[in-house]
Amino acid sequence: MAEEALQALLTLLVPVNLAFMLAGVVVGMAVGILPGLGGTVGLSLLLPFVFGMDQAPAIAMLIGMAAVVHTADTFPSVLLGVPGSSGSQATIMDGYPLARKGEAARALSAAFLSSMAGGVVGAVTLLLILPVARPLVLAFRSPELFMLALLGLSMVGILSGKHPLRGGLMAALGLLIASIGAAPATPFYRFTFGQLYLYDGIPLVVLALGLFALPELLDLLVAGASIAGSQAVEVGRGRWEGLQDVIRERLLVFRSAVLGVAVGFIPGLGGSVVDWISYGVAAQTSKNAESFGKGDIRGVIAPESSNNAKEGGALIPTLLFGIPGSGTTAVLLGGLVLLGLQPGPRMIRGDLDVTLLIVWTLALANVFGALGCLALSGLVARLATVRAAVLAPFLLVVMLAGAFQSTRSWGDLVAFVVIGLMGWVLRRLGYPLPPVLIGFVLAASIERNLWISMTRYGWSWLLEPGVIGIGIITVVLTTLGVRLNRRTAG
Amino acid sequence: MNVSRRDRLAGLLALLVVFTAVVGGSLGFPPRARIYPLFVGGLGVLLSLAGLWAMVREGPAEPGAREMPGGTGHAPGTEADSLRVAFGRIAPYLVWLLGYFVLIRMIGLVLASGIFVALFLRREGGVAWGPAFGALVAVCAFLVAVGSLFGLHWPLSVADPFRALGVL
Repeated sequence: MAEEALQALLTLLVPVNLAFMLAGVVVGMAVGILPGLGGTVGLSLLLPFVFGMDQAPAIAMLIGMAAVVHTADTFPSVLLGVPGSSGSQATIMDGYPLARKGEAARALSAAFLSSMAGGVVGAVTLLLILPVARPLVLAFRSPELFMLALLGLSMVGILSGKHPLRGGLMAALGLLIASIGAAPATPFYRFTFGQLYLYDGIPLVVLALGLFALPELLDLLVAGASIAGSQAVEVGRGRWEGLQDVIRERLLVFRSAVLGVAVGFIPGLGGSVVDWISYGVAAQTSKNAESFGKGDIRGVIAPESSNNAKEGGALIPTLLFGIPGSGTTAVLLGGLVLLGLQPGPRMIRGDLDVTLLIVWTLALANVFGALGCLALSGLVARLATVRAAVLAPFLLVVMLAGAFQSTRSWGDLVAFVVIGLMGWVLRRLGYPLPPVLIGFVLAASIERNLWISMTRYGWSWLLEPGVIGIGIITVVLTTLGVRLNRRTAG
Repeated sequence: MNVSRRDRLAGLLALLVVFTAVVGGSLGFPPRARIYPLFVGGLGVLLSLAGLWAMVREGPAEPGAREMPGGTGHAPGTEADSLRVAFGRIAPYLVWLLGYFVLIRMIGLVLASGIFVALFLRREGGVAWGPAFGALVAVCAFLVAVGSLFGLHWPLSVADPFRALGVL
């Protein structure tokens, strides 16, 4: 296999392939920086160009794009408190407070280096796991997937600080918002109030933008300050400190990356939750955890390592079984089919060269993406020093343009404002907003897998070893999280 | 940020009403569609009641609720701020937003965004007319370029000059 791996690297290093990979990286960075556009949108945009192309440059471009979205989406998360894509929501928790303390460059450089490390770990894991992945993927059935979704939901206990009850209420609200629209497994529409827009439910992008971005923007405008407040921001300084932070926290980087690969590996769990899980685990297992949520660099490093590593994990079921683990990999699957490839066991036999090319592209694109973002960080970080009244109208335009791309209807814009106002009120009342999003992204997996488990196995699935094991982990993590928060409050 | 007890109570009651309505509404759904909202609504009702009970136990003293993790920003204001007062502060910006929406509906997102940015910069940001006009041109150019590059779509309007000119 070493010979094939070397051959795949040489194929990627052919100038034309390298150029297409870099083009993909540039598009991925642009897509990541613009809030509301994610990897799925980026890949959809590139797909028409792939048709008729040779396999190697097309794959280099597609994977190059997908690999760096979660590197570049850190810019809006850190600088504006707006999730650049669904995988960078948790980065806001500490990245944005760091920007407000005048440490935007530090947060960004730490994020980019950990993203790069995470991406490379993801690629290496993909390479190592290919021969043994099949039984692992098949081991996860509906009961285990349901329990994994509950495990994700348990992060609410950790993210709700001193008020787990309020966190629980917000998670329930997120689960409720997700129930709007078509019910799974039955032709029935819930809570649509006759509105055609609600038939497909509230789009994640609209919810995330409305919940986090609009309330933040309104409060910034009222405060009349810049994101960095009255801090005299030296955006260029702190960059090296951020890089040193990552080197110092290398174990956290590695641990979060492995977690990211594991979550990405499980189809249907959703990349939207990987950053939260990683953040929650980091907050729970780190010393001096009380500083999380107030501008702790570890709260940036953990989610950023995991969301890039997730791509490597998500490619395992996609390539080996044709099971897309997320929207992005679903579009990628379409691209591979367009190129005449048939995802499945053949990818590690007849098309091993293509698989290895994907691995190399994933690794190299992460390196180039991180370097590109690092080069831009000083420049882009200056945004944090611009007065709110000057920055706000531009942000609003980008937010509305991003929100509108969800379903391309006026409903997106109306929903954005309504959810934004709801988020503003909830925030004023002291409710934590991340649990709403966690509940929302996990709802589909919870409902679908619970229904399948009950229909297929009755109650007996509760006694499955995997279910019991994940259940124990969930209870332990939740208890530890609540205890830790109480101790911090004390 | 401190929150008045009355506002917190109103918030909890509003959530209780929403979750109760969900439970009531989902009883009329077919069995397959009913279980999940019933479970979520029931959970919400229980948590709301638990929150109310906790408030009763706290007594009438101001609890001095602190900002939660994930309240990512810095909602400005003093301890005396009620939700109503705070809303009064953001209301002018909501009027701007409403005006922006009306503009989008009339002349399309691209030109409306340019005009909105220019007027906002001039009025709220105290920016001179020259740079404000420059921003108008830059925003329109950015949206046209991004729209073309990524094949994005913009909301339909009564009369969109860019669409009429065939730019979009």
